[in-house]
Amino acid sequence: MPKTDPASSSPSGAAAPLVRARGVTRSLGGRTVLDDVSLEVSRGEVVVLVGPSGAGKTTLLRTINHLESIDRGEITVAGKRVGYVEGADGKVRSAPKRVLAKQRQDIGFVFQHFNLFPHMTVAENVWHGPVRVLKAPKAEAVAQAQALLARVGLADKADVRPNKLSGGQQQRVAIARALAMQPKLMLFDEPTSALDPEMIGEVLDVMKELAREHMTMIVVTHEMGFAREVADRIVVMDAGAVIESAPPAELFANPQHPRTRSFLSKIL
Amino acid sequence: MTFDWSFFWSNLLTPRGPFLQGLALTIIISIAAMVLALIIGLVIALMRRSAFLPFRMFASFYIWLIRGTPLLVQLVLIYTGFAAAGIFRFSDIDLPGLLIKAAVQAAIVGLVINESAYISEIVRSGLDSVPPGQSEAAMTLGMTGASAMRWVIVPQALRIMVPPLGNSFNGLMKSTSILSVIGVSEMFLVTQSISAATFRTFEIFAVVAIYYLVLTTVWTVIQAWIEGRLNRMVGIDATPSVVGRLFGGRAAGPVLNPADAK
Repeated sequence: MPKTDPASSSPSGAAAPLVRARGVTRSLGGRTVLDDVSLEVSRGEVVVLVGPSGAGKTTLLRTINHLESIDRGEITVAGKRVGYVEGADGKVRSAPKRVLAKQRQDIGFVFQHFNLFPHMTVAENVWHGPVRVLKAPKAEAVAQAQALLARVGLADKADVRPNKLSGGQQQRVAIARALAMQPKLMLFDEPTSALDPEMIGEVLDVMKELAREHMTMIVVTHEMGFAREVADRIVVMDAGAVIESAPPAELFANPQHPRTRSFLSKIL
Repeated sequence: MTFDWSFFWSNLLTPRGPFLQGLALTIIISIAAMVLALIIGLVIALMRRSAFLPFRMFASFYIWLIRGTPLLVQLVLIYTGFAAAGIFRFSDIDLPGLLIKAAVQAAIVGLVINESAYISEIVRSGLDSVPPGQSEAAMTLGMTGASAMRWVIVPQALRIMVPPLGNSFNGLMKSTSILSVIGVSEMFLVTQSISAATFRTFEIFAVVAIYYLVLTTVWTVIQAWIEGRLNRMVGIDATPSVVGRLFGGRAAGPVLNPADAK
């Protein structure tokens, strides 16, 4: 099989971006949700996506692990297209389901509404992926789950059902569940938007800890304090397009785009 | 009014051999038909959700056809009609130690076809009741569609599906009385012949009514147990007791995930 991706095989592979989106376009019912979006995220980088609602932040995030399809452009993670394969004839097709499933193992996703499995205990939620998907030995996976739960401060909740937990606790379990797959990349879709205010801090703390450990993260959020403190770069989207991208200090001090200025003035 | 109490009590408490055989046949046919209908119903439901258009069309057509015609007509068509037209004739199957009569086979086939159409709709609505976020969460962990079904969707859908499925089984047990028209000697047909031989119509039909009631009551208890187990599986502790279920009203159902209800 010919190597189609020089970036991942060349010696400079480590410097190549982990996530590369080029010209990504998606329409839904005649409306352009993503309009020629390009974005690169390096290994270890924390990128925060901001913008007014309807700007396409969540859609962009969901296209990165192919929860949403794209009409044009390409998205690669670690040099490989996600959800698509390029045939020998140069045509791009949907990837076989197993190939896509395998790629998703490396991409953790944290949902706004947690989406924990209600019929499993907290610990099962965390070890289920490693055991059923990665075929890890159960004893090891259970031990790892226990360690991850300790890391998010929920070691004592291992044996309860998710519906007995607060929203903040559920979201921390959801992060532990994603981390159990040992992903290369973590995507967060408004992880604190469904939480009561007093629970936002505990979830952000876990995410900050992850950032300190150099996890590559793309975070859609309205928490500007978090963005300022943790993000290496803030990407501003509006009307399905990226309008600005800069380190937080620079962006907050000197926004270039008028719509960035108007957006920031509303939320800061 | 003349009610022969001694005839009633003796038939109720010490039923004749043929009656007990009829009872056994009723139970066996009900269970066999239900198990097979569950399998076929699941297949039809999955076809209905398939991405492959001909599957979806076939499943919709099947459900439309079967739900749109009476069980009685279906049974007579399958057993007598097909044979008369020379399409297919059931014949006895003689296995070592087990004789399955032609009429019994036709009865099971008819009940399975009829019941599977209803069950497929129950399965479909059960699968649809699981929020899409669940299969998305499964997919982001790298599960394939089949794996997500097995570990995430079906266990949650079951909880929704069991009450209507239990209802179906309850109905199915009583529908077996219709099998008398194709000559299956289940409980109803035996009762009819006892009635014809003794002219104690009221007494013997009171007895058979009680037997059907016992069957459905036993099932109610089993179903309550299954529902309780499934509820505990998702962390819901309060399940109505069997007594409450039989004689009391039911409070509003427990909420699966309080966060979702907001």
